[in-house]
Formats: sequence, C-alpha cells, structure tokens
Amino acid sequence: MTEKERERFSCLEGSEIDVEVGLRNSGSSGSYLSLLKIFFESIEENEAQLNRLYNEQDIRNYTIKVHALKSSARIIGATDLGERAQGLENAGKAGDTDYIAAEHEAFLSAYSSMQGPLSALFRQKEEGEDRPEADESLMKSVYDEVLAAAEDMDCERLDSFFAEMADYKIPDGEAVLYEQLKVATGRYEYRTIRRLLKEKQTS
Amino acid sequence: MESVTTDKRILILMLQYSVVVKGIEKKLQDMGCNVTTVADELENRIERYSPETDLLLFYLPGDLYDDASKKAKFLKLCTLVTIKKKKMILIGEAKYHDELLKEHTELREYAWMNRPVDMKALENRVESALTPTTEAAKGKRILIVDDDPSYAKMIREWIKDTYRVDIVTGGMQAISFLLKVPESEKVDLILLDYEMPVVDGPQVLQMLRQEEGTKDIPVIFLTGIGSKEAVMRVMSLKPEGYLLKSATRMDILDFLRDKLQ
Repeated sequence: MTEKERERFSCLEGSEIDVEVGLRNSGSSGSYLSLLKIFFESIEENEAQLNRLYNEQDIRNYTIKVHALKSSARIIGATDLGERAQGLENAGKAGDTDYIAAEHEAFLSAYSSMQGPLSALFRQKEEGEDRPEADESLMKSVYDEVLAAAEDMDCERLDSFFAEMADYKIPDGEAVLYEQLKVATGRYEYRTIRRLLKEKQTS
Repeated sequence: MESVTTDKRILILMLQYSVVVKGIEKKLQDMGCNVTTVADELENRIERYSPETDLLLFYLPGDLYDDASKKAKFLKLCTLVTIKKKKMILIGEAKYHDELLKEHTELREYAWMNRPVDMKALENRVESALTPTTEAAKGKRILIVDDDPSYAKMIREWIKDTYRVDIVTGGMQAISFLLKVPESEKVDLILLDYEMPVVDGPQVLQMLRQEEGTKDIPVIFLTGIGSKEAVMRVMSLKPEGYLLKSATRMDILDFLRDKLQ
C-alpha cells in the first residue's frame, strides 16, 4: 500500500476490512473505492432481508443470501465476515438451525459495524444543501427514460439517470416512487420498475 | 479530475541507475499514476509487482546493444513480461533500435520511444497505453447473470471500462434479455452464477443451449471454490470454463481477454 492509499483508507483502520486484501483484489484504489461504495450501499437492505428471512425461518433463502454476501465481503477484504457467512451457509445447507440461531445476531452485528467506518469514506449530499428541485417536466422525462431503459434491461442507462438526478432535489410528492425506482434499479429488478411506472401512468 | 491515468500502477525498470528516470517518475506521478521504480532484483520485482501493474516502462542504457550481459538480461526480462501478459514501453537509443528489433522480433510486441525522452510525447504514449485496450475489445458485450446484485455490480465495475456489460438477476430474465438483443449488438459472452435460487446455473445453461438464438454464446460459470467439482460435472453442457468468485480484477480481465480474442 502506498502512503497515499494508506491516507485515503485510514478511516478503515481497526475495522473488519483488510484494505491490503481489497486493494490487491481490485488492482487500484479507484476501483476498490467503487466496490466499497457498492458494499456500503447494500448493508442496510441486506441486513433487513437477512433479519426477515431469519425471523420467518426461511432457511433456504437465508442460506442463498449469506452465500451471496460471502463473495462480496471477501472481494473487499472483509475476510472475517466472509468466513462467518461461509459458516452460516454451511449450516444452512446442512439444516443446522441451532448453529444459525447461535451465530445470526453476531454475524449481523459484525456486518452492521462496517457502516460506520465506510460512511466516513463517502460524503453524502445533506438535505437542505443547495440543490434545485426537479420540476414536473423533468420528472416526467426521467420516468419515461427509466421505463424505456427498464424495458431494454439496460442497467448502464438506469445507473446514469440516477447518478445525474443526484444533483436535484426530488419533489416531496414524487419521493416515495423515486426511491422505489432507485432501489429496484440497484437490484436490477427491471420488471418492478416497469410495474411501478405503468401503475403511475394509469393512476 | 479523474483521467485514464488516475490511480494506474506503473513499474519502471532500469538496468542501471538513471537520473532521467527520476524525471519520468515525477511526470507520471503528476499524471496521477502510482509509480514504482526498480534497478535491482528485476526478475523478483516483476514477479512481485506485475499482478497489480497496469504498465511497465523499461529504460534502457546507452550501451545495451554492445554489452552482451546487459542485452541478455534485458531479453530475459522481456520474456518474463511477455509471460505475465503485461503492456510495456521500451525507452532506448535510436542507434540500436532497428538492429535490436531485427534480431529479436518478439520485441515488436512492445511500444518503443527514443532517448532522450520528450516528456510530452511520453505523456501521450502512456495515456494511449492505458486507454481501455482496443476498439475491438470495447465493442465486446458481456452479460452477467447473478442473483446477487452487489456481486454483479462489483464485477461490472471492474470490467466496464473494457467491455459493454449488462446484468440480469435470474435465468428467465437472461433468456428474455438475450432474445431481445438485436444481432448487431449481440452478447459475446455470458458470466453465469452457478448457484442461484429457483433456476440454477446449469439449468439456465441447458435452456440457453436449447434456444437457436442463444445456443452458441460462450458461457463461463461463476463459482465458489467448493463448487469446482460440481462445475466439472456439467461440462457435458459445454460451458467455456469457470471463474472462481474469489478471482481478482486482473485475473478476470486476463481470463476474459483470452476468451474473447
């Protein structure tokens, strides 16, 4: 790790994330930073999903979820989290619900603890900052373009629309739908996007 | 401001110390590159640094052509760089350039710059070398099929500067996507998660092989280390191979470059 990299990722010192491993996997700090952002942005939702699946005792889908999380964790250097996920995956496949019951909370706690250090890396635009509000015609254009991109299953276009719209404040009346579309985009749920926008068109 | 050189890793090799190389090093750092300069244990350094190196520069001494031992060492190191499949710019004297390349045609694979180095020309040459490979590579289209959006997004982040990348999160969605793609924008390769809920990777591959429009698209399984043997069991479906989910960015780019050549 160079001195510049050490400084850039200093907020992760003492966290569950091994920056050397993450940098080695990604090959550059720019690339690594992008991956950390992807990981960071999915923590809240994944945590909620894991809790729901655990509470519903849906062990099959719980196992699939931890299996998926294992790969992402290892890529960014969260090796210990990856190992915990592997343990839960193995238990899920073996039907060992006692192990899952014993380890679930500790796993979620370790996962959730990464939010703090990672949030220091990514400066979020605060509400109340000077952003212009998107007007009705802009929102209509956005919805039309998002629908077209979802019909083409074009993730690149979808990502670029939401990245552009980050410069705007979304009107209160559109906030819920917009957030739903953004979440669906992040999950590549093209069918959900189409359904939401067609419902809007007919309402 | 980010450019094609930002955060790129450059390894500078010298057979003997050169003060001009210090100037080159500073120039590259000003361009946003991370630079490592080495003058000894060059073989070991190439082995150690090459996995994360984007570009090598080899600064050649004025007497390279006349000094048999330096020349032999130089050629041996070039062979190692070739094995590592790394891009390299050779910086040497115009007086021996032609003879050297005539005798050792394998060196034509590398870019050449004459000494004394024009820093502006060097800047242009380095930018060109670091710009996403070739137009042909950039035109290749890859579809990632993985039920985990975060993992799929991470892989896309790694390869999107080199390829056009699409993502779907399920097998049925993959079929639907592929059948809608026009011939002029066809998908060249599919990265397919082996373990997926509802319809798993092997089932998706079977469906792909049954459709006229998708049966010939090369498919690579994405799999964990514990599933390698499982992948071997479905080789009769003729996937093009597999990639471990623990693969680094360089591993994946090297692998895809080989498959899509």
